[in-house]
Amino acid sequence: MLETEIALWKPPEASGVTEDELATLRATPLFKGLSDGDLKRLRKMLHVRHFTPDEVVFRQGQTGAGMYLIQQGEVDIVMRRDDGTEVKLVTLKDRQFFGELALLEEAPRSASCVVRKPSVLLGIFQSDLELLVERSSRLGARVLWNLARLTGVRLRELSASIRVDVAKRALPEEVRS
Amino acid sequence: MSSPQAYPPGALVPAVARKTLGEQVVGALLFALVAAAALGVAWILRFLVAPLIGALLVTYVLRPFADGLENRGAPRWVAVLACGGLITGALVALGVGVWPSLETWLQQAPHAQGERSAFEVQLETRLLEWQAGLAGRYPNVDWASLFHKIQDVLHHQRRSLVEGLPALALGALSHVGSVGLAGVIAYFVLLEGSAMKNALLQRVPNRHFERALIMLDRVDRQISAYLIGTVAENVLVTILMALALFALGMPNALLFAVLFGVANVIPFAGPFIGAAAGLLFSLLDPAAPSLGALAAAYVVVHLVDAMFINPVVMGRSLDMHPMTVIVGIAVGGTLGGVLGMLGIIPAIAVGKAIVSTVIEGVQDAQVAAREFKPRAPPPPSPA
Repeated sequence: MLETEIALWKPPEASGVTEDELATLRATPLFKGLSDGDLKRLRKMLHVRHFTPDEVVFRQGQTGAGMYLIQQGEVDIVMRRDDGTEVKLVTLKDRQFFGELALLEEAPRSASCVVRKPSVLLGIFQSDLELLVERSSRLGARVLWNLARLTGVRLRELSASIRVDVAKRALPEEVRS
Repeated sequence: MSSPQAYPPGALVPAVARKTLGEQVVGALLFALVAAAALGVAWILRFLVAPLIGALLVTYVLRPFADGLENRGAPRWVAVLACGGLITGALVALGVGVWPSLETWLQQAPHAQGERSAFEVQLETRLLEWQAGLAGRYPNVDWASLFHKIQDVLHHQRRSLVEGLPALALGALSHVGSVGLAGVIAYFVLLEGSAMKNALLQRVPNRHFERALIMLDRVDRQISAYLIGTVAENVLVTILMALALFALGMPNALLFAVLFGVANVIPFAGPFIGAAAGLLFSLLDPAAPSLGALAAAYVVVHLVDAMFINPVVMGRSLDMHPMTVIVGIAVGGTLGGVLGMLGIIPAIAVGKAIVSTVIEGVQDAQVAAREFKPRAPPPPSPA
C-alpha cells in the first residue's frame, strides 16, 4: 500500500499477529495441534482486553460468555463460599487460561477473577467459537475436541478433590487437625 | 478514568463501585448529550438509512452461504463475490421472468392526454356488464348513480397515475444509487463484519464488555434467524404460488406469485394483501381463471405455508406470542405503513433481546453485589 493512500477502514488484524500472541496461543491446551496458520486465523477472532490491577474481569454469579488467555500479567481466581467468606483458589500468570467452561453454555461464573498486575487478556467467546465452526469446521472441530478433553481433565481433577475431601471427613477430628 | 477499587475489610475481590447521586446525574446528562448528538448525526445522514438497511438485509441473507463456501476452502473475498453474483443472477432472472407482464401493461398505458388504455376500456366494459346484470336482477336500486361514482373514482386514479408516472420513474432512478451503495456496504460487511464487530467491542469498557458481547450476539441471532427464515419461507411460497397459478392458466402468473410472496412477509395481513391483487385482476380479465378457483389456490398455498413451511422453516426463529405480533403489526402499520408492518417484528425481537440482556445484567449485578462477610475468628480454645 502506498504511504499516501488513505485507508477508510482498517481492520484490527491488519497490523498482523505478534510472536507473543502466537506463543500464548501455542501454549494453550485448547489450541493444541493447530498449525501457526490456524493460530493466526484464530487470533483474528480473539478479543484483546487490557486490565489494570484490582480490576475485576468477571464476578462470581454473573453470566459467563467465554474464556480468557493471559498473554501477559497476573490474575487471582477467588471463590465466595455460601457463608459469604472468600477464598483464593489459584493465581494465574502468563500463558495460562481460565473460564473455559463458559464456552459451552451461558452459565453463572463459579468464581470471580481479579487482576493483580497490569494484564493483557485474549478473550474467546461462544459466538467466536460458533463463527469458527461455521467458517472452518475442521479448525472448529479441533478446538471443540480439545475443549471436550479439557473438560474431562477438569472433571477428573474435581472427582479426585472430592475423594480427598470425603476421605478427610471420614478421619477422626484429631487426625484431621 | 477509573476510580481506585475499594476492598471491604478482609475481602479478596473489590466491591462493586457505587456512584454518588452527583456522578449519576452527570452520567445521565452526558448520556443525554451523546444520544442527542448521535440522533443529530443520524438525521443529517438519514439518506444513508435505506442503503444501510438494505445492506444489512443482504448481509444477513448471504452470510450463511458465504460462510459455507469459505468452509469449503474458498477465500473469503471469493465466497462473498460468488454470493453477490448469485443474488444478482437470481434477481436478473426474476426480472426477466416478470418483464413480459410489465411490458404488456406499459404498452397498454395511455400515450397521450385523454387517451384511454386497453386495460381501462376492458374495465369499463366489465363495469357496464355488471351494471346491466345487477340492474336486471334488482331494478329498484339506483345502479347507474353508483357505477357513475365508481367510474369517477377510476378516472381520477387514472389521471393521478398518468401525472405521477414521470415522478415515479425519476424516483426509481434515484434509488439506483442507493441500491449500488447498499451492495458495496454489504460486500464490506460480509468481508470484514466480524472484525468490525470486534473493533466496536474494543471501545466498550471492561466492566460492560461481556454483557455487551452477549447482547450483540443475541441481537445478531434474532435478526439472522428472522430474516433467513422469512426469506426461505417466502421463496418457497412464491414458487408454490407460481406453480399453482401456472397450472390454473393465470395470465402474468409469475408476477402475481411474486406479489403474493413479497406480501406474505407481513404476518397475518400479508396473504390477504397478496391474494387481493390476483383476485381483483381475475375479476377484470376475461382470460383469468374463475374467482373461485383462484381463491382456492390462494387458500391452499396459504394453508401449506401455515401448516408445513412456516413451522419447519421458522421453527428456530422468534419466540414471540401471537398477541405481541398482532399488536406489533397494528402499531407498525400505523407508524410506517407497509414498511412499518414489515420492520416491526424484527424490531420487537431486537428490543426483546436487548431488554432481556439488560435485565440479566441487573440481576447479575445484584448477585455480585452480595455483601462480603469476613470469616468470624475461631473461638478461643479452652486453656
